[in-house]
Amino acid sequence: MERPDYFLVDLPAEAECRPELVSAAAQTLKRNRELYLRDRPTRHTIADFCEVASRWLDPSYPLRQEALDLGAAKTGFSGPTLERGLDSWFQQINPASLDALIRQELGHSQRLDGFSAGDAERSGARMSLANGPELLVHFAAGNLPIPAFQSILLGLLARAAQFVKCASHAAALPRLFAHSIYEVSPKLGACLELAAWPGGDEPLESALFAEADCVTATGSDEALASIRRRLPPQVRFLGYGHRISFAFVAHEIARDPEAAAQTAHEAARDISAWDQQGCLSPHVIYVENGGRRLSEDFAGRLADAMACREQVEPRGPLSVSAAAAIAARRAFYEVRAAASPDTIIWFSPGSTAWTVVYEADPRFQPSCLNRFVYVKGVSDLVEALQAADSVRTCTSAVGLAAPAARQVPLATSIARWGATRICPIGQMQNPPISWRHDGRPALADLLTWSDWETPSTYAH
Amino acid sequence: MHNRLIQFAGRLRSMIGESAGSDLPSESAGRAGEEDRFNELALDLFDCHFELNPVYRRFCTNRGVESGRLADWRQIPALPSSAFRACAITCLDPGEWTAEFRSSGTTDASPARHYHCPESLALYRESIWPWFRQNVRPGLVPGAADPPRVLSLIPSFADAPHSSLACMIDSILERLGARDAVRAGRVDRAGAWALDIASATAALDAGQAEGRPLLILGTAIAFVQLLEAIESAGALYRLPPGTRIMETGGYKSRARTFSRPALVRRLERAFGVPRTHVVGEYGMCELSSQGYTRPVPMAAPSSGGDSPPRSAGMPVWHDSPALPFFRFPPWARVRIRSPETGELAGSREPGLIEVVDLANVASVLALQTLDLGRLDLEGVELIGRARDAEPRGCSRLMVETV
Repeated sequence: MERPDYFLVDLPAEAECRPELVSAAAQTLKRNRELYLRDRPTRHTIADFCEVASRWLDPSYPLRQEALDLGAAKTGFSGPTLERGLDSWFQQINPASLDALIRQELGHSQRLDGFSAGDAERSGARMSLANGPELLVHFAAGNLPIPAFQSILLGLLARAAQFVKCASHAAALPRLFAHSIYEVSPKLGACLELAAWPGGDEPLESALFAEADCVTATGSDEALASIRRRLPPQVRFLGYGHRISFAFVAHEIARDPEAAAQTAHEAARDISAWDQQGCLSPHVIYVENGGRRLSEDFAGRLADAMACREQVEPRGPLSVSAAAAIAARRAFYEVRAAASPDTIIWFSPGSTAWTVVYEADPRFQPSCLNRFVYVKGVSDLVEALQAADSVRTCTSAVGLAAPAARQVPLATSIARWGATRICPIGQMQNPPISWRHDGRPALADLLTWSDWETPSTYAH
Repeated sequence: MHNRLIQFAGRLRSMIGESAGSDLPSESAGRAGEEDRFNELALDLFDCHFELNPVYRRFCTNRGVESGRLADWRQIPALPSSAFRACAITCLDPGEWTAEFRSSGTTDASPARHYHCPESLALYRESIWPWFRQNVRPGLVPGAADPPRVLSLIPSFADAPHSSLACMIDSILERLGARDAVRAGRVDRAGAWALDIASATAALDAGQAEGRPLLILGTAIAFVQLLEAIESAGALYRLPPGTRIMETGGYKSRARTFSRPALVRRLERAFGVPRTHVVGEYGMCELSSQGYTRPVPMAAPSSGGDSPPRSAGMPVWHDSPALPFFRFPPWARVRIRSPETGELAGSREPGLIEVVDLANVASVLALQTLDLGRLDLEGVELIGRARDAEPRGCSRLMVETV
């Protein structure tokens, strides 16, 4: 369906993006922000955003249909994968969750609307107001769309004009999302710009950086370093680099056939979500053996669950090179399996759709992704965390399946070890809207406080 | 080496010997008789490896393949090249190992190890010459009075005893009888390969001065080092007609990546050697046979000798393709496997390169590489490499063969 040209990304492919165009767009965004967004009450933005979300959840919404019709060729994901991924995010958007996000981050719902005081400030007769950046620039990653959506949401709440630089092959979904915002509120839409070019284009990016107050970027550590290097010193930078995730299954769960089967199905949902592309996707499932060979059993159950998942939510098509990575790794583990009983491999016959490798060796192994997962046996959580030490500083989420009585000690150990998110297996790719990305404040990191010491501060 | 393998080696020797007499094996390779003969030998060797290589046997039985049941060499399961990193892939008892070829890698992975005994090593060395001669055409018969001046940028086998490439170059120099060959390759104290630029340029100077053709052998990395030295000194050579360059690997898997066409252009410019005389070699320590890019053209009969057609009519072939095509000798064949379906790919369809190499007598004959390619009548076209394909820390994943 033809859509009006609201954004640079709407222009035909042959229209070249030039530095002057980027500068002009950035300046327009800032003017629009001043007119429409800077003084707009937060509750209005929340209401508009909830309207956007409820439209996306309506199966007959044209933009949703268009997104699902983009197909695997444009998005890399099968329809069911895309549908589940989009729905899980939009379902989290409601007035209560957004208000909770602001209170979590700022202690008070009206922090962005005007001067207000928390308990500690009140005792000193002080007040404060949180201001967002004038122009917030996002460098969105190309692998999955939700982080870009989340960035746009946080930027709107921060009352920032936003310029989103999409990866050149991954602009289709952010573009439809931006159109839905424009549709609900042209004023909000006027404070948003989307463009796509291959990352590292210095003339375009310099023009953009010259206008920016804050830049967020999601991508490889190299891409982040390159952006950071080129930013003017006064520009705040928030980089979200390479992260991995894994899961831990307690022996009480693994030894109970029903709970183990259920957990395997939940794990399969986590592995299949966004075809394992996100930093919250598990690479390894550690299973506590409890003096038996529970991890091996669990791996078999997980293979069954992956096969079921493929039926309802097929994996997207792969490039030859990505398929070759899976084929070559499978062959490597076939050799290991031929040489030792400590390795077992299960995989989809006739395709690279899914692969489960069981290994007795607990050392963490990064997956080649696209639904390729390791199951490793450990004697307890301590051994799992030791085995994952090589990825401690880049671990994002740890999925946990354990009986209620063990949840607190296990979660505490995982948190002390350094993981920034602990969640039930089955929810790994579905963090709440108020999730602190990489352990940092979600919204507060974007803001700058203005403290007001009122005359009565010094009255005594 | 087991008796069955020794017998097989004898049969393979006659195949190699016949090929050594022909200058155009590639054109005879398509004949039906050749196909039947390759098939018969491949299936026999498969049966031997199934019996004598325990890891390979379990690998095959896990895939539902048994010995004595196959009808076509295309059905022979290929072991991944990474297997050579994970365990000993051999039909030999450890007591028989007298040579061990290792891959040179820059990752944290342990090297691939390919074990040889005296018989298998002898066969390896014998198989090198005929296909090298037919493709690189150093021009003169072995042991002739006036062989080309040879400049090798590769260390000697004595200095690099785990390098199959060093062993190969030694064999070639022996066959050429190149006693005055200049070896500019070194191995430094850390075990890394280095280049003695001064002796390399001295050999180039001497070759240019005396008008005797050179045969220059080196890795892509070594050529880049040499080119950088020559270019920064502002020197340009016009090496004598008949000079050949063989470059190998390095641009495909190691730390730095090179574009082969760019390298060939630089060589052409710096040495004055037409690109038709720059031959690329595809080899790895897990294989015993080599692939070469299209052979150096035969000279027109009237020109005498095999001087390259430097003036009229040059180049004989169109430019090197953007990506190299390699051709293997009659005793090795390439097939391409679709990584997605696991089935053999059709003509021009991309996939993982697999080589069935009958000269891999003592290890395993069918190997799946990490290289991506396409197959057509020209040979196999190298189009890339599977990234992220090997698990990290293979060195720590070594397993004892059960």
